[in-house]
Amino acid sequence: MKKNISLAILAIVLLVLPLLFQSRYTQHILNMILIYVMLGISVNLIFGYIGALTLGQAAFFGIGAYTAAIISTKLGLSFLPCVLCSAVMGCLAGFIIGIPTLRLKGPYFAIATIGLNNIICIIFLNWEHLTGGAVGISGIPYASILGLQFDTERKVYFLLLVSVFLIFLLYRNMISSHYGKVMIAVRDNELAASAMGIDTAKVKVIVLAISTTIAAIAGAYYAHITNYVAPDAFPVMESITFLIIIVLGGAGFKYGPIYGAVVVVILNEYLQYFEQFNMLIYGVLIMILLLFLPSGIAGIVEIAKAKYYEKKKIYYLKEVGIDEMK
Amino acid sequence: MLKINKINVFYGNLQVLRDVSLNINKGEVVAMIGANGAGKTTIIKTISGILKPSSGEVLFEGEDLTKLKIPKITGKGIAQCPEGRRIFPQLTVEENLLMGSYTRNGDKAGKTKDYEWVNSLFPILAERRKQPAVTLSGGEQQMLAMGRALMAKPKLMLLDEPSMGLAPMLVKSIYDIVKTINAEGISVFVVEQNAFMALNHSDRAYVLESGKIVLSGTGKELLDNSEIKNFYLGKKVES
Repeated sequence: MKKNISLAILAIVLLVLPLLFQSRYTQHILNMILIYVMLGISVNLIFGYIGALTLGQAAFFGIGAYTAAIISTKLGLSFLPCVLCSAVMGCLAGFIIGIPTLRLKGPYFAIATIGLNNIICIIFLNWEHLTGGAVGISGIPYASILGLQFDTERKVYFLLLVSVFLIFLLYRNMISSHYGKVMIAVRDNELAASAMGIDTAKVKVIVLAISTTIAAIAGAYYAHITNYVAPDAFPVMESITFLIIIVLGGAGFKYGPIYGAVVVVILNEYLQYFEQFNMLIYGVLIMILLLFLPSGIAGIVEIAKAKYYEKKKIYYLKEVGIDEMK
Repeated sequence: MLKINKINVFYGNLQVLRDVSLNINKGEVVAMIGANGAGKTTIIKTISGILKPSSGEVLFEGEDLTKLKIPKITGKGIAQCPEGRRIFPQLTVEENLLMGSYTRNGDKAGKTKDYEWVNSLFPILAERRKQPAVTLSGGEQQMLAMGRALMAKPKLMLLDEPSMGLAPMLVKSIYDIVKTINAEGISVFVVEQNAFMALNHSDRAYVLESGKIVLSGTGKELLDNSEIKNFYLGKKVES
């Protein structure tokens, strides 16, 4: 009952939030947060729950964005078919990349994904008659569903909110299902997991494909919101930003992507005031946060919850993985 | 049931096992004792497919395991309880146990029955059902690892150093459980440094020294063997 009330309050806040801000700029930030939540979910699945450090997620984001851009401008398909095509491309790319690279352990997988990201960027830049080269593709139409045009930031917000909600539901069900436990088993001890009879390579590739599908869907939304894609939007640095979202938010925690996306997008925007110092401040902030909060914001929330339950003498042992609790 | 035929195993250039042959019959408890670095764990790892021998074969019910991948070997009915336990720290006790029955898709009734059986073997696990495994003590973790292996409904269970780091009282109860498991018709292959415990609780035993099997016999025979007494049981024997 109490949970339902808080959920209802959360829903109301999320629905009126864009109405509170008049400026287009603030609304744009809200939309970016939602896109980054999708990307955070995508990275959390592969990094947080499988433990494969990916530094190439922007490549799949880019594949999704370019697929949507090319299909909508060259073939004239509408928004939903574009998202579907992007998802399929993202999924295929995930399988094709995952089958050879996920055999690599630890840092080697990370290095392979950096290489992949650079290759994809070079393809975007040089396959000119398809991708438009350095100029990119402009004139991508606004998203529209059944004649309803999402041509203002505020309308886009509601479109994104619904989409993020649906993706989040799928993601939540996945990680709390038996398959989610299998993922955690593979992450925590791959050898023991395979001794249980789990085909760990298969689990990893499937999760990577799901994760890249989500990244590609985010890319399709991005293309339709900004009406423009160019190769410089998907560098390795962008992949690192996605990773920072998860590390700050809490890798392997359900709500990690949400906390992370909110903090990272807002930080990125406000640090623009410091001009050339912004990356310096950003870096120092992240270092401090990682030193004092190795399990991210979700980690603090879990500690706070545990303390609260302890105070109320409720036996609370559901979530772990936080050093302070051991 | 399990027959190992002259296997040679290398770590890089270093030969760890030299022409090791042994067999485990149905319903037996077979022990392997030996000092640190003798290659005991290597044998377990070779049976479970983590290491591949450069020559020789590992036959389980007539089928060569050396050609199979690790998950497939588990599916054949060999469950292992690795050294250092290797439980899944972030999963709860219950989830750990259910992970053990991963290969038994569809057999829901059997899983439930075995889950209850495991909980009756280790009442402490039932008590700690909802706790993450990382919060368990060493002995409880050992029990969890054994329970998890049993959830696979194995024909043969491999136990690697079950007494490692446990208090003597606990070691005794672990071996009592080995006896109970064996009474259910599950063969057990136990690798141990604690020679006295292992020999006392096994039908037959092998002694491994520097990658070679130097002695074998029934548990009782080996317990009375003067060399074993000198080297493994720490009793001075006048000769």
